[in-house]
This record gives sequence, C-alpha cells and structure tokens, in this order.
Amino acid sequence: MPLSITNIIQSDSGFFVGILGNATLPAATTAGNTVILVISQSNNIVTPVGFVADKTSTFVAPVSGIYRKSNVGAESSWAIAPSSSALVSWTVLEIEGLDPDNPVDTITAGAMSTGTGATLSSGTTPVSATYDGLMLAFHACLDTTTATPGTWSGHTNGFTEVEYVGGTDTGRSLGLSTSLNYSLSLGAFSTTATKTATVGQNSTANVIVYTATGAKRAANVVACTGFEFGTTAGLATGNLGSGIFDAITGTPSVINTDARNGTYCLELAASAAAENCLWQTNGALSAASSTGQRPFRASFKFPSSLPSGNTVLFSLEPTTAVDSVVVRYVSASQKIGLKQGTGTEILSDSTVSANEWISVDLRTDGRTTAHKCDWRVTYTQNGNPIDQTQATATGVVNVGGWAVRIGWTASTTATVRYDDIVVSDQGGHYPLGNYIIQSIVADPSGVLTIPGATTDFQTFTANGTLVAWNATTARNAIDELPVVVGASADGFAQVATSASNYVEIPMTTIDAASNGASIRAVRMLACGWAAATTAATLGFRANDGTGEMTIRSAIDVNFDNTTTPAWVCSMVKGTSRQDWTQAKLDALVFRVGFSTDASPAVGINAIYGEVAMRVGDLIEILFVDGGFYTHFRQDPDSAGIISIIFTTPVGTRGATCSWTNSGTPNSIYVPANTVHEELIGATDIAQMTAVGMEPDPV
Amino acid sequence: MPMPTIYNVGAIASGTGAVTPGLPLGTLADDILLLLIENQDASGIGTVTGYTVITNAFVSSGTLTRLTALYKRATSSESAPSIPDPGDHAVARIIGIRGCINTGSPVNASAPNTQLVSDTSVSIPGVTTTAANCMIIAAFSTGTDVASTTHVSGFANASLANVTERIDNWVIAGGGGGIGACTGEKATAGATGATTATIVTANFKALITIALQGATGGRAIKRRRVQGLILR
Repeated sequence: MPLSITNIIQSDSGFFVGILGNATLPAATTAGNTVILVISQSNNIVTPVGFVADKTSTFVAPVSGIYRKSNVGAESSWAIAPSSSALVSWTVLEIEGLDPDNPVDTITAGAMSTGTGATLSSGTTPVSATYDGLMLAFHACLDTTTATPGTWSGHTNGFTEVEYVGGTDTGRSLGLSTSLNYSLSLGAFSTTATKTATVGQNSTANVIVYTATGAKRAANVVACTGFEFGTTAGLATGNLGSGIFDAITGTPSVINTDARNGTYCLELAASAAAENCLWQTNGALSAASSTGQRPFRASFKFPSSLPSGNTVLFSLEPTTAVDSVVVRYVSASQKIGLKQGTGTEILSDSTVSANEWISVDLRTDGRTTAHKCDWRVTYTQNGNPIDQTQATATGVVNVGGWAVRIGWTASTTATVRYDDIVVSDQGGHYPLGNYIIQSIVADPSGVLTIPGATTDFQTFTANGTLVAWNATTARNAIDELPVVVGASADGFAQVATSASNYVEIPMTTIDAASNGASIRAVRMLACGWAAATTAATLGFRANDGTGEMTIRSAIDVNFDNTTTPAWVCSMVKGTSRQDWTQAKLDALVFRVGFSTDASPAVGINAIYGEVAMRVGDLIEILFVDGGFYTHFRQDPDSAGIISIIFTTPVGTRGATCSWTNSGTPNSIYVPANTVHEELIGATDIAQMTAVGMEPDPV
Repeated sequence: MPMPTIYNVGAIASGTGAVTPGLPLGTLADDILLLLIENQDASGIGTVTGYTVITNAFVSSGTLTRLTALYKRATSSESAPSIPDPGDHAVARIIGIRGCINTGSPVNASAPNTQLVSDTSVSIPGVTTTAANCMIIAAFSTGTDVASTTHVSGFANASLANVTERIDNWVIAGGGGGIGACTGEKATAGATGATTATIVTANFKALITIALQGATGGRAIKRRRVQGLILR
C-alpha cells in the first residue's frame, strides 16, 4: 500500500518558552510506527533524548531540526530541552509504514535553507531512490519585531501543510509550518512557501524524503556480468578493481554453446581441484557502500548431470571469513543449500535438475550481529521464484562489505555453468529478479571522432605496427568480439601526451522494451594494449547524452601486448547513481585517451559494454468473456510499463484497444485471433495513464 | 423490446476471507444477477459457482485494485453466492436486473479500462450498444482504505437516461478498497459515452461498463379449437 495521508496516524504541534517542554500526541503510539519530531527554536537546539537527528541547522536562527524515533510503541510525550531558554515551536507526527531500519531515503546536501525574503525554498533533495516515498518539509520564521507569529502558505510542488503552530514571547514570535507530499516516482523534491512574517526576519526550511517499508528502490548495480566479452584472455589481469575479475583460481572457461541469455556463459569444470572467479571488496566491489546488506543474483546450470558430490556454487565473503554466505549443491538431497555464517544450512524446498538454468536471488544482512539471509530459487529458466526459509546466524557486524566468489575453493569435481550475475548494494533492491545481460560493441556504422589533434592517436595492427590515424580503420580494429590478442592484435593507441584529448566511440544499442525488459546498468570492458610493458597512463569516460562521466581517471593501466592483456572494467556511472533510460543507452559513447604520458603508445584492442536488463513481469490487466485479454509487461521496481499485449480470440470478433502514453491517447483495432504487442518502454509509473479494450459486439 | 429495470441491490459483503453478498430482495427466475467484486490481489477471483465472468480490470501499480463483473441468470431457488477468499480482502455486491433478454448471455457489450492517474475524477469509458433498450452499468473500484458509503458522488452521463447510483461501498478490510456503480438507460443503439463521477480520496481506478440487453417482444400465443374449447 503506497504511503499516503492515511499513514499519518496522528499529529500535533505546540509552543513553549524556556528550557524544558514536551511534544505530545493525543494517544499512545503503536509499536512499529515512527515518530517524527520537527523543532524550530530561537536558539540552542539539542537533539531530544532517544531521537536520531536526520537533519539539523544549529547556526542560523531559527535553529531547527528534524528528528526521528523508529519502532515507537506506547509513548505519547517526548521532552524537548534547549541548552538555554528559547522560543520553541514543535510538530510531532506518528507515521505508520516507514522502513524501520533505513527510513531516510535522501536529504538535502549541506546546510538547511535560510533566508529573510517573503518566500523560502526548502532546498532540493538529490534524486530519490525509493519508489514509495513520503516527503516531509518544514518552514519556520522567527520574527524579533512583532508578537504576531508568521504563517506560511502557498506550498508549491504538491506539498500540503499538515500542522502549523505559532507562539510569542516578549515581542518575539516563531511560526512553524510542516507539510507533506508523497510520490511513487523518483525525483528531486523541494517546496517553496510564502510567509506573512516581516520581510527581513530570518526563516529556515528543509525537506527530507522517507521511504516506505518494503519499498522498491532504484537500481544501483555495483557489479554484473553475462560473460559476453567471450574470452578468458586476461580474465583477472589489470589493476585491482579494474579487471574482469579481481582473481581467478583454476582454469575457468567462457563458452558460447549454452548461454542462458546472450551468447556466452562461464563454465567451471574441475577434477579434484579448486576453481573460482572473485570480486573483492577492495577491488571490483570497492565502490559498493558498506551498508552491511548485499543483494545478489546468479544463474547456474549443471550440464548433462548433477554433480556426484557436494559443490559450492558461490559465496559472499565478509572480512570475517566464518560469516560468509555459502550456497552449494547438496548431493544427498539433490537440493540447494544456503548457510549464513555458522548458522544452520537451509535446504531448498525442492530438488534441482540437470540441464536447467537455475537462479538464486539472495540478500544477506550483517548490519547487526544477528546475521540473516533471505533467498529464493527459480528452478527453471522461465519459472516462478519460490521464497525459501530465511537463514540466520550470529556474526560480527559487517562494515566492510561482501566479496563475491563464483565457484569453489576446496578440492571439488564438478562442472557448473554460470550466467547473468548481478550484485547490488541496496538492501531494498532485493529480490533483484530476472536479469538478462547482453553486449554492445563499437557501432560498426558509427564514426570515431577525436576533438583535438588526430595526430595524438594512431591505429596498430600485427600487435605493434603503428600507422597514422584513420577513423574507419580504428573502428574496425576494436569492434571484434571476442577480442583478438597476440600476434594479430589490432586497435588504436594514444601516441602523444594530451590529458584532454580522446577518441570518442559510438556504441551499438539494445532495445530493452523489445526484450521485455528495462535497462538497469551498463558495465564497460576495455581490453588494453601498449607497445611495451613500461608504465603508461590512459583514461576512460562515457557520455550518455546528458553529460560526461569519468569511468577511470588516467592512471598507469598496466597494459602490454601479451596474450594475457589487462582490462579496464567499471560500471558506467558518475559520482551518483545512474538511472538508465533507452535514450541514454542509445546515446552512449565511450571516450578513451586522456593520457598524461602516452609513452609507450597505449590504447585498446577492443571495448564493450555489458548491458544488464531486468525482465518485466507479465500481468493480466483486462479480460472480457470470450478470450479477450490485455497484459502489461511491467517493470517490477518502477512499475513502468515496458509493453502492452492485446490478445483477441479465434473467431470473428476483434477489439478496439486504447492506451494513453505521456498524455497522448492511442487506439488500435486488433483483429480476431491476434496477439499485438505495443512497445512502450516507460521508466516511470506516471508515463502510462490509461488502458482499455472494447471487443466487437457479439 | 422493453427496457430492463433494476428491481433491487443486495447487501454488501466484505472481509478478509470468503464473503457472501446478499441476493437482491425479490429475485425471481430469469432475473439477471450482476455481481461486482473488488479485491487487490494480482490473481483474480476464484470460481463463483454458477456465475460467468463478464470482464475484469486490474490496477497493477500504486494502490492495487481489481474489479470483476460476473453474471448469473437466477433460478427459482436462488441462493447467495460465496466468493472464495482471494487473498487480502474482497468487497462484493449484487445488482438485480429484470427484463433482460431471456436466453443466453444478456451482455450486449462490455469494456474494461484502468485509469492510472491518482485523482478524484472518475471517467468510465463507455461502450457501443447494438440493440435498443440496454441497461448500462458503469462501475469502478479503487483501493482506498476507508470505511464509507459516501465515497463517490455525482454520477453523470448525458447519453443515458435515469442515471442512478446503485453502489457506494468502501471498506477497511485487509488493505481496503471499494466499489462505486451506477445504472443508466440507453434506449437507442449506439455509443454510451463516458460516465463520470467524483470520489473523496484520489487514487487509481479500475473501470468497467456493461450493457445488458432488454428482452425481445411478447410470447406468441397459439390457439387450437377442439370441440368448441379454446386451448391456449
């Protein structure tokens, strides 16, 4: 149930002068609910006992704060104790349905908004990450020239005032307005209100976004692969955190005969040996926030037959090794077992079969010593996920994140294939769900461009023969997949120092909607080359049509011209979360260059993107007797409509089908015995506003 | 071909398990029982014994709501139907219509829609009838969690005669939800146009319009003269 005014169980506001007062509610709170306390004072604000300060302003009067107490039961009064006598206005709300563990979605950067004008903005939050948010704002005005407290009105951007309180003392006054708004979409939120207080007197304002419990969150994929790079050359070669993987054990293969999606998958095949691929917390996962939670998804397959013995499939490993999450095949039961730390291994509810792509979604949570792991299993490629019993254990509070290891470290005889691996660092992103990962390459019809001197770059063939720049030659040299290394290697390289010059590479694109999916993330993979093993710097950037993002600053990339080339791999994002759209992927270009030495010549053999897409859920929306259906292919996180599927039955009756997309009404006649899919590609719940179906008369 | 009439509306039923809406008082054989059910589960309503699903519409985002319309031709020993537990909650009510076509399906036209804008304005798209004297039922549901019998007001449709509110029931069972419905008369075949209304609390809506066709003319009477008696 989305957050709304009905989640505000009760609220009240008040005013006092002095060093002690109480914020009160008419009735005792209910356990599990959240108490939000908004305080504005003439001076000397102190965090009330038992509360967390979500945002405070302590320097410019009226000093103010937004405070929170989660999971509050049977309380109705809270002390407010300024450090010295002050005018104090307060508003308290009991709110049902906020996330009890991580209720704050986003707050404004820097100090609260202050001013003396007739209007004041709350400030603007960064783009939120929750798809079910409650925005709380306040405006407070302190007037030292009148005993009439100012009021606030005209709250913009859909905010509605829910509480106002004003008070006065010895010719001064303080007015506090609290307003709320709700949203099922991502956004940057702000509200401006107009005061009646004297212009020239100080005001303070702010806004916070809170998230509902269980709310879907915007994707923040920190690592992914579908093995679409198609090679094991240099699989773990490169600077720590830049390689395809940070480390490998054994001889993993990347094969093209059995992919779950795309062309390639990983095969680990060992006989009494260890074999695995690793992403480390100080490597590929160093950008992941150490929230203590880690949603993860992997798909795997036992080709031909089930393993004869127990086989560890993958593990999530914190700093304290015994607290690892281990997922394995258990031969005695032919089930999947998941063990959190030193706790009891939980077996899946059903057995698994050979020759099926099986997917496991899990979220491990080590934020407290009570570790837990929620998980689900999808037993066939297009099956429905089945929730499993939660695994628990006592462990060390995780502050360093979770490494991800695909495969096993012990002596094992098994053959397992893997595909579509996804790692997120947002607890609310669980379950990650059905992902497909496909590749993009340098667009064979695109034109490579250089903004500066083209003499800064050359193309190479035969692993070392450098010739003058030619855009077509360069493009054709870097678009092969898998990459060609060794004696026949070709590509382009920077040969003259220029920290600002680069080669811009247009990439191919993928129509997510036609795949029934939404774009979640893109990982860049660049296979490096250098004329010698001497250190040389190279940088990587991207542009999605809305702005440039630095993927890797120009540093020594450890490139060479061997058959184990170093790679530079990184998620394509700037300093903040990247919310992908079809338009951004269509516009995506990579920029390679920015070398501060270019000696030896340093460049790339090839460059790819792995595009991680979340397959939408198929949901029946409309039905009319006789076999007329309308289905949505819907993004399970944003609720955006990926496509609409109209189905008419065998016979003589078709249907007139209608929908409204971005405010534009559309209509189509679907004849009898037809399935018509209309691609929408919406990334937001708000884009589609209506759908209908009227069958022909009988 | 006379216009069907609404002879009664049964008692509302709601709850978090199976529910049994009341039969409209005075139900006779051949009356049409139009059953409207609101729930919020992605899965539809299970089988309601004796009832045929006409149409349903499901709002799959925001505050979920599904509206399902079923019908049954009443028998002489009719009893209230049991709606199987759909999961979270169900709200159900029956409109009784008399004078519909007396064989086969009485449905002349139907159309489901969803409105995915959270506002207080309701606009239920219409249908195009192909027969004279159709009783139009325009219904909608929202998932608003409130206990109210005054949640909807102002049903209107300039293309229909005698627009009358028939159902206005919102409940707080489970996640909450409710149904609003009106009837109107479409004397001549053609487009009914949209039916509009206003609700108290903004929300997404599942919308359904159904046209029930009136009965055809009177029975033919055959007479045989046998030895001076007239047998009918």
